[in-house]
Amino acid sequence: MRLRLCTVWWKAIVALLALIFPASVARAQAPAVNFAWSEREVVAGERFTLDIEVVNGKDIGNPVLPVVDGLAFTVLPGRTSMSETRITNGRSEQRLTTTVTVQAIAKIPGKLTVPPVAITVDGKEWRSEAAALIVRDAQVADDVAPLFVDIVADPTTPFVGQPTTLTLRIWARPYRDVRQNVKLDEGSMWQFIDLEHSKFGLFKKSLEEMSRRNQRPAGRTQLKGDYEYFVYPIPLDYRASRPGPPQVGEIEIQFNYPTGLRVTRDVFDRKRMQATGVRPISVQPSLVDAAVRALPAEGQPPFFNGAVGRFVVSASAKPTQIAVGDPITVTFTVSSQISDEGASLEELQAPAFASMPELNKNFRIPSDAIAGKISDRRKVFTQTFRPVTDAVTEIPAIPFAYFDAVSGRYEVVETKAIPITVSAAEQLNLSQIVGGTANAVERPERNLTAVAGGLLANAPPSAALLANERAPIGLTLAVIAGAPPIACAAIAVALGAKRRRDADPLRRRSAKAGRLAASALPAHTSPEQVLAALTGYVADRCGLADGERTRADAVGALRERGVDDELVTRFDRLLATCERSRFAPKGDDSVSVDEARELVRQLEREQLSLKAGVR
Amino acid sequence: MIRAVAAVFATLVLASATAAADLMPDLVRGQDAYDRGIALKADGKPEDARAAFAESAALFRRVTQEGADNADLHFNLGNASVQSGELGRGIASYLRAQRLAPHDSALNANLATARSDVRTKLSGTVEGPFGSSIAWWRIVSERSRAIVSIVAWIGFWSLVAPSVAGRKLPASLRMVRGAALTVAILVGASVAADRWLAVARPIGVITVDGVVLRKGNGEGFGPQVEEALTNGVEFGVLERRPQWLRVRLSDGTEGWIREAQAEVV
Repeated sequence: MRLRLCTVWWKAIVALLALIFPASVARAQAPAVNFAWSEREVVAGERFTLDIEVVNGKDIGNPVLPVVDGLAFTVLPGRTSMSETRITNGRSEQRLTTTVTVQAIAKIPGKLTVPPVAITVDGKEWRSEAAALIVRDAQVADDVAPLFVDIVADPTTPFVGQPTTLTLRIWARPYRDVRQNVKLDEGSMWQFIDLEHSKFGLFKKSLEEMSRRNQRPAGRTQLKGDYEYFVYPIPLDYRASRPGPPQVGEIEIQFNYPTGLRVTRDVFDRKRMQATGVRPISVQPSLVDAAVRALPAEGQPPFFNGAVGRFVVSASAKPTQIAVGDPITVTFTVSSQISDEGASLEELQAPAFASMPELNKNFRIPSDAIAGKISDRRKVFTQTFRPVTDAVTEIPAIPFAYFDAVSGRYEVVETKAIPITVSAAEQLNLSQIVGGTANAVERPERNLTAVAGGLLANAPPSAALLANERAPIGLTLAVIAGAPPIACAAIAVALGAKRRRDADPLRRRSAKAGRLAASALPAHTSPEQVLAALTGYVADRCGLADGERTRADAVGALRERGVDDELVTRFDRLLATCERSRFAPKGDDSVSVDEARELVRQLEREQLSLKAGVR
Repeated sequence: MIRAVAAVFATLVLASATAAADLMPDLVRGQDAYDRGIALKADGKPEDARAAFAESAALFRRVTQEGADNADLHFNLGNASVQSGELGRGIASYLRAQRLAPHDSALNANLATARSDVRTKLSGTVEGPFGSSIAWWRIVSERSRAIVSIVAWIGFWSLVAPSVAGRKLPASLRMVRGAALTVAILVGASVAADRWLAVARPIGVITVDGVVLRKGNGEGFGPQVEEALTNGVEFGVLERRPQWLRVRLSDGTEGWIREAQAEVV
């Protein structure tokens, strides 16, 4: 009796723990079997495999293999098992995968159809589908197209506005190196697509989304005619805005198809394959298996505004007791009845309330397009209705038309009518105006409606209309613009020359020589003074030392500087006359001061240099 | 030097004033004709009104040919031309005015009204990337900008001269000198940009109906498009040959038209 009580108590504790900690109870899924051929296109004489994956099977029998001419099966000994436990939201799930591998060798080139392979798991028999295999001769060259691209749509002939899944499929022929008995897998083949230089049109968005999730299109093996390809599907949610072929932008896939392989091994002795050469291939979609249909004109309701899908509508109003002209905020909700319909709501437009006769008869409604708010699978539009009369008792049912792409028909749904109470607008009586105590009646705001088109008035005649607003660009402007910098440059040059002259005493003396000589030769000058003035002039001008002021020094300096012989001779003759007159009796002065001045002027024009031998 | 500059400007102003005095009667008569056209139109005499508007347009055009060149005058000429039925010439005048005053709301409204009357509707616009909408500098007239630029230029060199003469300027004047140079270059560049745009990217307007856009510069060339172009269609000029223009329409279509069938702005 005591033992029985303990057992009951123990069972109760276990049940309680199971309730409190459900995660501690692992649940196993029902068994499932998956059959996977390693290749669908094989080379005669080479091995390939059929993997039979059994999930959560306990009692797994041996596979029953069909007899096929030209094909030999061998069940490989040993089975691989993998156990996995997942805990999701406090629930644990256990998954045990057991793989049975069947090796096959095809002996004769050609096409083979392998009947279903059977295997018994936990007493239940599972059968694969019949598989078509292509067996090739290893010695025959492969001349099939290595790459092509197509686009398929689901559904293939959608209506304008209908959600459609477009799939860009890249078909890449697996590269097989017969010499090394190596075939590249789908992951390796994907690496040869030049993603940087390829153009994917609208599908680029899908690729970028995959890339953000560190994914890429998963290639799967598929036969095209008699050839095996890896197919990389890139899906795109698409909604056509006009009939015809889908507009998916420019698509051009650049592929560097390998032409040879080199097998190497890394530091962990793992096999690595590198392409020894590639052949650039550029392909564009060869087939666009889709055509967008226009929405039918037949049966289209007049208030249809382009909605495609399946919808229900509802409406609410607030407040429902108002005066004439007061605003009622009407909330109109459109709910999609299709689960994957988020995108369609973005383009869904509000009904044209203002143009519905049942509404605009009793309400003033703005005709401006209104934007809605999307929440979950609903789009909510808000509009202001103003009753124009107190005879209005309800907001009538608001119809909403949509096109059901599945049935191919237009459907109309309606909201329920909303009862409202409208009172006459308040008016101010005389006593209230005089007393000034009444609250002002709030009149509804009114926006004036602009009239488009029509020319606006002329500018009145005035002197401003005779002006020239263009810039007077021309020679005058060029002179005005050029004068200041030229003047500055001239000032800079002149000041620079002056500075250089002031810095050199000889130059300064040379520059002043002419003025000194002119001042030393007044009208009544004695021959001696003329002699001193002329020799002094030459000494200053040519930079001679103070002791070199004789007639011979002066004449010699002029000759050394290449002065014209005739001028030098005249100069010498005048100096000789001066010397003679210095000792002549008084009153016999025959020296011409004018000639002396003229000689100085001529020598000034000669631009005598300070250095001998330089002109 | 300052006296010389002042003398040049004085000469220019005096010349303008003299021209203004001569052209004022035409301007007033042009406006009178326009007002008369409005009155006749209100009286239900469209043909008479059209003749009055044509007279007004001729007088305004004469004023422009005599050298007056401002946004208001082109605006008035555009109004008179559009009212007289010369839709293309009216749009051309509006476009000229828009180059001088792109932000004038009345001008843009009338241009939009005139464009809405053009029967050949094409997508796009003939305006290039440096069109009137982003040429912000045009809020000031080209002439005023040129004067500002020159004054700033002379001011800059006036403040350079003391430095050339060896005198050191105070920091405040050096800043003024830098600012003057900046203003001179930027404002001068805006004037140059306007002139360059007018020469490098000319636009035009078709002034008659039924213009065939041809594949080449001759009547022997076939039509480029099936439809004939109507009065008021705008285009960009790509090339000029004697009597012919190679044009690009706003939708990108290119072809040849006779120069006499259009007015280049």
